[in-house]
Amino acid sequence: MNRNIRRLLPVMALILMVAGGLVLMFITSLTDPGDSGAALTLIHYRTLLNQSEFWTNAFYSLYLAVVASLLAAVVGTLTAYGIATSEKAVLRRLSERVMQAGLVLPYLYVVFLAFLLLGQAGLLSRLALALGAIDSPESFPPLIFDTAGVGMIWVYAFKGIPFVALMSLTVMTRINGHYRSVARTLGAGRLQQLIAIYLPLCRRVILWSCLVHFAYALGSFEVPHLMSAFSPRPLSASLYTLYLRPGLSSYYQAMAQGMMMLVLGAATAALYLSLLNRLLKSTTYFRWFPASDKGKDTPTGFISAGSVGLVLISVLWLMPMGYVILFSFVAAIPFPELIPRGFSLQFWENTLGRNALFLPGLYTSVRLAFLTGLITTLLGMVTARSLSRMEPSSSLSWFALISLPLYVPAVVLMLSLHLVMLRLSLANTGAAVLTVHVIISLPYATAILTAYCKGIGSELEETAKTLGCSTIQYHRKVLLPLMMPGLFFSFCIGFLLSFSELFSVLLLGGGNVLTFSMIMYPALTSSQWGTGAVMGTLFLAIHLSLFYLADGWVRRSSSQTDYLF
Amino acid sequence: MLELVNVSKKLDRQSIIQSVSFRTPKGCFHTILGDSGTGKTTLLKLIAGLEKPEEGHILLEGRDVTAVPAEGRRIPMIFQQPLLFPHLTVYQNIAFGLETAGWNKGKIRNQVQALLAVLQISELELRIPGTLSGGQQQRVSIARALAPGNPLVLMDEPFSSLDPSLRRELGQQVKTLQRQMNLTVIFVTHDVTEALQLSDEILLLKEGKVLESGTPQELYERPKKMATARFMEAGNLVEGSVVKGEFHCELGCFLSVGIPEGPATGLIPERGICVTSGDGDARIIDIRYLGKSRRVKVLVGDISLWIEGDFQCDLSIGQTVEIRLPEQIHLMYS
Repeated sequence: MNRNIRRLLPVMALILMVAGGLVLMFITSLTDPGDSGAALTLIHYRTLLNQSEFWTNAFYSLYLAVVASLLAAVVGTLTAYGIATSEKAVLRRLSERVMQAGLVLPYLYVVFLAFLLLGQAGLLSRLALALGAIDSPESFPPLIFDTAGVGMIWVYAFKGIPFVALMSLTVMTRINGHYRSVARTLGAGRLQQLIAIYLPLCRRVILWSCLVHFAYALGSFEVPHLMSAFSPRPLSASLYTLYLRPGLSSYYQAMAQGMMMLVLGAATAALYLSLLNRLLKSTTYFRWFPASDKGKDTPTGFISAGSVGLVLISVLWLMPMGYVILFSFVAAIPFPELIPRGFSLQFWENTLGRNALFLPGLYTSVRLAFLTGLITTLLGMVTARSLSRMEPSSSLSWFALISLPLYVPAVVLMLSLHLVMLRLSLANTGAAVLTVHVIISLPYATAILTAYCKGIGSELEETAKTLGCSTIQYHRKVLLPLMMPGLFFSFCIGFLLSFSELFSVLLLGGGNVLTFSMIMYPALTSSQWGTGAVMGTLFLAIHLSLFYLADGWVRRSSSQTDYLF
Repeated sequence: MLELVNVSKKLDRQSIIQSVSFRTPKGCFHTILGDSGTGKTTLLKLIAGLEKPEEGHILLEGRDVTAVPAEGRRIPMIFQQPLLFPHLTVYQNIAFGLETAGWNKGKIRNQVQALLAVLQISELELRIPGTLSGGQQQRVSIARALAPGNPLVLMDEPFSSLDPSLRRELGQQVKTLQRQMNLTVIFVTHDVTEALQLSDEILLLKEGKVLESGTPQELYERPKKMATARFMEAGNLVEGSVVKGEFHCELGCFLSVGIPEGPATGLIPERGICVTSGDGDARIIDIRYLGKSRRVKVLVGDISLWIEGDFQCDLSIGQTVEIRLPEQIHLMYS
């Protein structure tokens, strides 16, 4: 067997788990529990499709996912363009850092932000009252538990915009700046430059990040479970409820619903992304936008719309985070006051000192996250070595398979993996949770480490061999030192993803695995904002410090090894 | 057409351009010549509006455009690399500037096809840049710059990435187009030969400052400064002094014109020296074959001189020859 393929065996096992889980789910959905002959049947699909509630929830889910991912695509791409082309280095760095912070924040934390900001007793409501826009909190439009899903869309966009922005930015910064110079000398305005040059060249990464975000928004459990109205209700939340409901028929219907979610999601994504693709490819409509009207002098001190946009984006992301930190240190902020009534550590004392579950939960999270990071990095390294040596088409196919967890709606993925874990007698164990965390982190680790391996190339190894270096020596003296920043970065990504996971722990841990997220979750459902603020601040501190540490190391090392990449 | 008045530019607190002033009349092929890192590209970017000067003014047809950014000035610029938009066809690339200017489709088609014909690349219309050779790409890039019909075009070493024969061919084609279309071209290069062949005027830049400017003939045959003579590789430089209207140096006496008494440097063109075989004061110490001619280095006392010519006699290293220097040589201040 080819050495590259041998190296991929561990990863193949994980891919088989994912694929196997989906196949199992599909077969189960075709099984009639009352029919001992075990013939395949479509009865569960028929029952489901005849329910108007299913269609209402399905269209509602698709509406949320499409709107959220479109919003993320538009604002994220504009943000990336603003950062890539801004002439103000300070603003560029600040905006990029803020987007990175937005990217690493856990969804649970962002849900908490949404409650603090958008709730009827939240910051926005208080501001509206102070400005006289409303005369009572009841007049403030409901943005959470509302049927339009504003709160949920806000949460998805709060995470999705940084994701699209940073993914697009990695490509935009590699576009030769002279293309823009050429376009400018031919009279193209900024929007025209974006449409005619940047969008077509970044098309693939924009589409990919939209797809990943769409799949997440469609399949997310935490967000709809905590924030949606009772009706309509996103499919992911109703699916989980159905799955846990006692009774065999609910179980099989849940399988059918999962499959329908997959099919509807895939069909919607295909349509929506193909339209988006056509829009991104086409450059003819750039004539609709104004060419440069800058035949007149640019006044001194002129602040461009791009700069204003970046400042606004930075404020919109930093302000909520700052509010959470403030909230954790206040004695009280009774409604409708904006200013806290003094500072206090009472929430910190209550959470850290009196919550008996806090330290054990933190310890479990750290241990689980550490193991996830370690295993993901090791597997990612082995996989990356293979992928970097393959033909591009083979490498892309393998990467698509490894990335499968990113494209399957999260709740469907977790349920299907739960089925596999049940078969393997691993359900409700830490091992199941760990395996799933590795599965969802592996695509990111593989992408990071493959880029490093490709950058290093085979010439260094050949040179080392001509100098008498064995394979082990080469790994120890050359490869690992060069890849260390990437290895640490991928470890941190695995750590952070695992640390912030909730649904997988809930479902696959079965209550036997108590993590930090599991402790924060009740604080949100029971409106314990103080506890939530403390835990949110801790979440923020852990995530940002680890991320910036890894990012800083990568940036410092890339300046030393630029000639390799 | 174009005038720069005391233009200065700093980058990272370092002076890149220092008080540069010059004028380019309409229809002139004006070359900015200098070594790498002297600020030629920065100067071009200042003219295009891609950079802003710290001091000074840039006037375009009498109008001060110093604060007008590139998209407002619309001065097309051709870079070292063709920089064709990789996702657009040749046609779309050339039409780009016309689209931004709001031309209608019919007019765009006519203009693009006319340029494709002039540059002899009509068959490439629907191709994408990745399938073209370097020379083809640069032709498309030239067509794209000429398409909007702006009378002023900037070129930043557009032929430097091409092989020598293609470089000569494209250079001549650009020069022909420039004359036919009465374009004003600001052309940057570090290649002296290219500058001499193509230019109507040359501006020699050194360390961000104007060293000297003039026609190719003036800079090559009658440079005012030694640094100019050295850069242009105009000939042999000989130190001496002017006494009573004569230039005295180790090689003898020459008529002096224009330089008063005092130290001076004489410029003896390589082609201005005659060589005949026979016992003379000069000994051959090096011979270079240039194809159409030969270049010979002779030692006269302590002075070495390069001589270029298509010598009729046989020459070899170590041979002594007679040399005849011109009676009058161009002098510069030391």
